Amino acid sequence: MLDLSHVTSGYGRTLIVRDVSLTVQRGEIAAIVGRNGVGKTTLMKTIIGLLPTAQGAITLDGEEITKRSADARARGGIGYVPQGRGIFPGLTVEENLEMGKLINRQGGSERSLDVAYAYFPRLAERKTQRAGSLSGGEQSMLAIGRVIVGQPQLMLLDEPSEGLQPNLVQQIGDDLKRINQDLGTTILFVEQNIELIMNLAQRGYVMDKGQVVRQLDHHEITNQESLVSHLAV
Amino acid sequence: MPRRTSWLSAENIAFVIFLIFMIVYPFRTDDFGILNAAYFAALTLLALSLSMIWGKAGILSFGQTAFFGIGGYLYGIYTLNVLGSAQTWVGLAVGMLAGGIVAAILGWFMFYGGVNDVFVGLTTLALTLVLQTFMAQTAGPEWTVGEARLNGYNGMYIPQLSFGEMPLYGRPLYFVYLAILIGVYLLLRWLSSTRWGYGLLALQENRPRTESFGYNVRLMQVQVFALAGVVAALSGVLYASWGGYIDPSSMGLTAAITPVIYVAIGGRRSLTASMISSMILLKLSQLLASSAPEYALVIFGLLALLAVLFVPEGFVVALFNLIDRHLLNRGGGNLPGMTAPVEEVTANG
Repeated sequence: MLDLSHVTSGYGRTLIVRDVSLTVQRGEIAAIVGRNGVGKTTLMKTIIGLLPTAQGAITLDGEEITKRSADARARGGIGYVPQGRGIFPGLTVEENLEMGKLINRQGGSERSLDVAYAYFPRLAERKTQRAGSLSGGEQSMLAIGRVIVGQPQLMLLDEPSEGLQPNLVQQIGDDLKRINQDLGTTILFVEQNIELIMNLAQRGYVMDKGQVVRQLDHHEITNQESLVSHLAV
Repeated sequence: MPRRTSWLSAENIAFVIFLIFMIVYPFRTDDFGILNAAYFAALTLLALSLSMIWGKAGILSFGQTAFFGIGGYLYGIYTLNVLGSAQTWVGLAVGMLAGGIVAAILGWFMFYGGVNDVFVGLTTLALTLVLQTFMAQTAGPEWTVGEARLNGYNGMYIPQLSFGEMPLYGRPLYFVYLAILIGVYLLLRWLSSTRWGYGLLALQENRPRTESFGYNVRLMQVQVFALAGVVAALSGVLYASWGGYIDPSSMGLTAAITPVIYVAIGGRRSLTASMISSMILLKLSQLLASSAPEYALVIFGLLALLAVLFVPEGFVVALFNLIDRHLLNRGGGNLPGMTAPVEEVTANG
């Protein structure tokens, strides 16, 4: 579904991601793991189009999207939950969810928001509350809910566990698995939290110094010792 | 994007009171008061245009007075060349269109060229000053467009908007101006409540994040800049028609900064607050001009400074929020983005 072929990117002349090739199949949950500063977030921003691709090609469903703008990629079916959740704190919960409707290929209707409320009933209770006043866990729910309102084919998440206490990390992992199974949303996420990786990922890639240095199959990515060794690359 | 909040808010109540006052006012004052109020209505459109571009989209523009001047001058050039009362209304459309086209072209170069934030302010201020400087040197007889002589600081004398052979004057003039002001206000409020309007609020908070939700941020910036340019040009047309005259001082540095001060004092994020604040401050400005002209700008500067330091959302918006919170039990800040930005919570749970 998503193919990266020898992708190199970065900030201006400073290249962070170098010659990365990876594939995500339709309907699967794949992880990109690695220590801080190895280029995981840069890679996510390159896939969504917030950073230009210096070399290589990105294809979605066989169609090359390398030169497309971020908004065009979003409308093409890629939903993005950025690091730090990226909600709009000055808007209400409901208004944040409305923002996600634009990428809905069915056009988005009044009922589009119900998908988010079904997975995260807490959001329905807080729909008129300012998003900036939500707790960290609720903000995570909102960030994910806002993306599923658009019913993307592919959801990218950048460190969804960041700033969450362990029981909420488990909860977010379970929610994402349900979304993947119920809605068929393909998920690619960047993470350092071993519990979440083991709970959620079906396979993965290890990044180091801006490159993919290893692929992890299902056995390796659900094995704690294996993961610890790779995160300490 | 539909709003699901109640219509009973301090902002809406204030608008209704404002509207009733503006309808009753011409029957309780003399001809001078009526003409004055029409003048205020024309200039308040400039405040609305700034509130839309700055308050809703976060783009601080000092160029609204440039579009104001373009609207006024183009209206004059058209109506001096194409005679006839009906043509004054075509002239109004020409002035608006000219302001919109110039704003769209400038906006295109700025936003697609990656110019944002404080650099937009500098670029638009430069446009205003360049236009003023250019128009100031058009006093010579060679600066004519058909029958229209630009005339530099001597000013251009312009036909007034008219119905039939009768130029608009007195109450009819006032009510036409008021209808236009209220119509533009309602249009901008409606646009602000659409998905496009919410996109503007979102891009004000974070452009890349908004882009990742499928919004073409640069195009939206150009669109709102052009829209605000049209409204500012309309203000310029009404101003030029009201006085039958325009000169380059309407595009000077003071003219560029004054609406920014009015909108900052009232509350840039609310069109209603900007409209009410502009009307009040224009009246105050006139009172000060006759009693203590040397202090007028100092007082406005001081008010703007106090607003920035202590009431960043603006005095009128702060009042709306206070009424919402304590009298209407709405929890304050019912309009999107009307409260000061809230820091994102990163604590656990």
